[in-house]
Amino acid sequence: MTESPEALRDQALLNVGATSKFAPLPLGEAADMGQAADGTPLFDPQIFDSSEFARNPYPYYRLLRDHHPVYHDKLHNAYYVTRFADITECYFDDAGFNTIPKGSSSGVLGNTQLELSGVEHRRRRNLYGQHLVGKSLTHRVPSIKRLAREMIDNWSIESAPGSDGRTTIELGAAFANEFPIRVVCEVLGFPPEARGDFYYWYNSMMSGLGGSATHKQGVEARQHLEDYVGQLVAERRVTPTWLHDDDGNPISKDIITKLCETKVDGDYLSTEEITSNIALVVGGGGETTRGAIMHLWYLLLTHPEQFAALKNDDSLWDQAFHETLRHSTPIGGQPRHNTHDLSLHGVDIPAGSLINMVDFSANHDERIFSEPEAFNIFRDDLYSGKILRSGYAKEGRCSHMAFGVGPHLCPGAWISQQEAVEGSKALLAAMPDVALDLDKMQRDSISGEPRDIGISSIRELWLTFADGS
Amino acid sequence: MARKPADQPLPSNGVAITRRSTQNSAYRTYEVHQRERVGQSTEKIKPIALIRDDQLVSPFDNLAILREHYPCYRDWLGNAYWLTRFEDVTSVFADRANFRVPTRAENCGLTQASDTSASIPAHTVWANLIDNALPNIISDALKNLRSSDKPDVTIDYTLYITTELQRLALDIPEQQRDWFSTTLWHIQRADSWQVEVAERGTAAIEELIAQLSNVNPSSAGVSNTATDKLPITYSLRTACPAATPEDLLATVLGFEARTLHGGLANLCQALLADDNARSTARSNNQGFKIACLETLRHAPPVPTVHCYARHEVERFGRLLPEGALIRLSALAANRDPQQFDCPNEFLANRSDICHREARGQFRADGLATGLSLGMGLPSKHPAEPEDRPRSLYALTRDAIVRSATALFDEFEDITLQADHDSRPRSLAMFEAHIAWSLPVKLRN
Ligand code: HEM
Repeated sequence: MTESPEALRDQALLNVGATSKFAPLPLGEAADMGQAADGTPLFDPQIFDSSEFARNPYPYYRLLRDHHPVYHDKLHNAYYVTRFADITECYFDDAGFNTIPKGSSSGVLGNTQLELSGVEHRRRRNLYGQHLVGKSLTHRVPSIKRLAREMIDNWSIESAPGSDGRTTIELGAAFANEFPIRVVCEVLGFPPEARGDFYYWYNSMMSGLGGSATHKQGVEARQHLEDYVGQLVAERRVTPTWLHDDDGNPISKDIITKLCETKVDGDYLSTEEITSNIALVVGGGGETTRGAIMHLWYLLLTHPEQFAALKNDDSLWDQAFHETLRHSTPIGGQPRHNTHDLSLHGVDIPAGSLINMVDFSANHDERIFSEPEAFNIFRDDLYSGKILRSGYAKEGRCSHMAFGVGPHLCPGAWISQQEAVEGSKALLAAMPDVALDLDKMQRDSISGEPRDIGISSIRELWLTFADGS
Repeated sequence: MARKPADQPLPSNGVAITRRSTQNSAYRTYEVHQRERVGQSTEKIKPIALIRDDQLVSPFDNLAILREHYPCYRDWLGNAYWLTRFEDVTSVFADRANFRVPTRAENCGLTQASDTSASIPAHTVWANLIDNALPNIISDALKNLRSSDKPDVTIDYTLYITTELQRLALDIPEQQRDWFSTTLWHIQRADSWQVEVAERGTAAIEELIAQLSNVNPSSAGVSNTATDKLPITYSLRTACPAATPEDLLATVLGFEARTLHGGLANLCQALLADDNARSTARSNNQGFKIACLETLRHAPPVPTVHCYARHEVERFGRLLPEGALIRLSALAANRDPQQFDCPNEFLANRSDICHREARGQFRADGLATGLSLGMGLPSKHPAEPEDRPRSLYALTRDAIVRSATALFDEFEDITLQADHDSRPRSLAMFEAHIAWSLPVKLRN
């Protein structure tokens, strides 16, 4: 200890008010955040709030995985768990790691199964989970295809083809933003005429999840949705409605009807509970699947040799879907709340702490996936078979963490795969010679390259194709 | 994953959570209550705004939003609740049955040490230092300031005084003054959320503990005998012979010299920055005392303390879950317009602040006091008790008043260097809010 307090004071004062502590770095490089006496790199929790982290998170997660697999962030009063194996273990231990309210999301979505554990969770999850899997889902596939075709057939291309005869579209606006909502609306049993309102509620609720100025709109939209669902519920409690396949045969009652008929602990669900379930299914199934479709296309178009292989072999779509979710995971991770004191990697975590399980990081854990930053639909360490709640880890292959694993595994996983794969097949059929319109793509602020390791960041994907091709 | 056996000491948040059944986890009702309805959303402020760099100097506007609109603000980004109204902050701070306030030593990682600062022998040492050793220390500090080529009141005067008091309490030899001063600087920041700063703090704690294990109190030669025959000691080790080196350090941290240092620096800043305030303070014999009380209200050096809910407890229309982190903002509470008129102004002769030492929930004579939460709850004893020294708060206040009076008596024309932004600021979020730099001209 040699510096005088005066020198230390001056040094500390230099940092006060420094507006941007973390200058943007080339993608893949992490800022130097200091070293412990033994040389271990230190981690500054303010990075989590920086724009540098938002655009370039992976090298920071690598730092955590390698040096602080359990990181105690005292600024945000939270712990971070970043290795695949640890996260898997925590997700399976539903009693030891409760789910917790998602920041301000429960204000908008309401109280949902996402925030319940154990038997409470199982009872509610099964209410509609069954409609999104297995035979119900198989029956739904034709209408997923129909919905995709309907959207593509109705494309109203605003600008005429350019002099090269090619047309430009933005995939989000033209397809990916709405398609997953349409599918979910249908499965829920929302009347098609309510779609317009529904998009408005959905968009407001989604943007309201952040707890900011838009939060109020989110809460208001949620209230409107609840008022509307109130009428539907009153009708369907008396007159159940059914889902039909494309030949008009009934498949099963729609989810709203099922929710109206269901009792939990001897009581029918209240309108509020039903609304919360609807909000969760829509909230869970919209933005995520949108992101998956956008990233899938972006990654394929920036890896032309893999795209070419896929064009020749339809069966590769499932692999491409899973590798996209691993590489560009739509949801960063899940918070959990430990119900007992525990010690993990030498860090004591008192019961009741907030622990962030970082799915982004798990999916880039080099202990599981080699060269994790590379997009490779042929990688032999990723399992791309039928999605299993128990996850898959055999013979050097592992399922990814984008849907979570264990009791809370995303119940929409199977249907979202159908949406992305069937939707993409329909898109490819409409634009066989599709290419990226690089001039219009958002670029990384530093490298100037189109963004490549995406976090749910691809808001716009500009494509060109020869009309009528 | 290792679960901790039930008989282990309390975890760092001090909350022993009832184990839930592993089979059927309970339904956690607080989530149901916490669903915000239309009209309850907190759109006027984003949680990130509370921890941005600009808050280090001037957090008052944002805190006013919380105080006015969201008195129990759920900060989802920081995983905490913020309390900002005077009545709310004091009621939670005083409610030790439902909320646990960790000691400063614990926050600095000294979890196994006992802070004996409230015991009569240790408390007496601190009182001896302030009543008997302080005059000499002040006169050395004045010399220090005069001889400095770049005189700075915070570094050469206030920091010097508080460091000396602690040096004597710990029997650190005079030759090690510089080393001790630097070590103490790091230790004071050992509770930082900044990993690098905290690491240095922890290393400094280890260094000091190693040093304390070697020092022999008599050789340090700071035991003293006063003329009235009662033995007076400045040495904690002499007064508390059973204390370990860790206990000694925890006890010194418990004396809260941060508030003394910061309170004195902030008072000097207020008086240096405003000639009227200075002449008001100098105009009568209570002047510096009232200006000191006003400083501790207007610019409390400990801006926030945190506590944990011991169990699920309903407060302010919310169910606070067990283990919840609650930030009690003294900066906000001390500017609560329900308690103080023109709360953002520094009034050296403020009349709506209690001039006597506060009791209970920080009031006396029906008036509120500025919260100095680092010093704990108001004393339950009379202002001049017979069986013990006066309270830590009174000792700190007196030390600030004496030191400030001496400075402004000695240098009547002292002025701040022109164009210097001397406002109190935190070096990092949640750290002490102090006028760290007060470069002065001693004579015009
Ligand atoms: C690519 C698309 C999707 C991704 C990446 C995704 C991801 C996730 C993740 C990570 C979870 C949290 C699991 C946990 O807490 O451990 C989750 C939960 C959930 N997802 Fe999805 N999801 C997708 C599509 C869907 C769809 C299409 C639906 C509905 C039709 C849906 C409905 C839900 C629901 C209801 C939950 C709560 C499950 C529970 O807590 O038990 N998701 N999803």
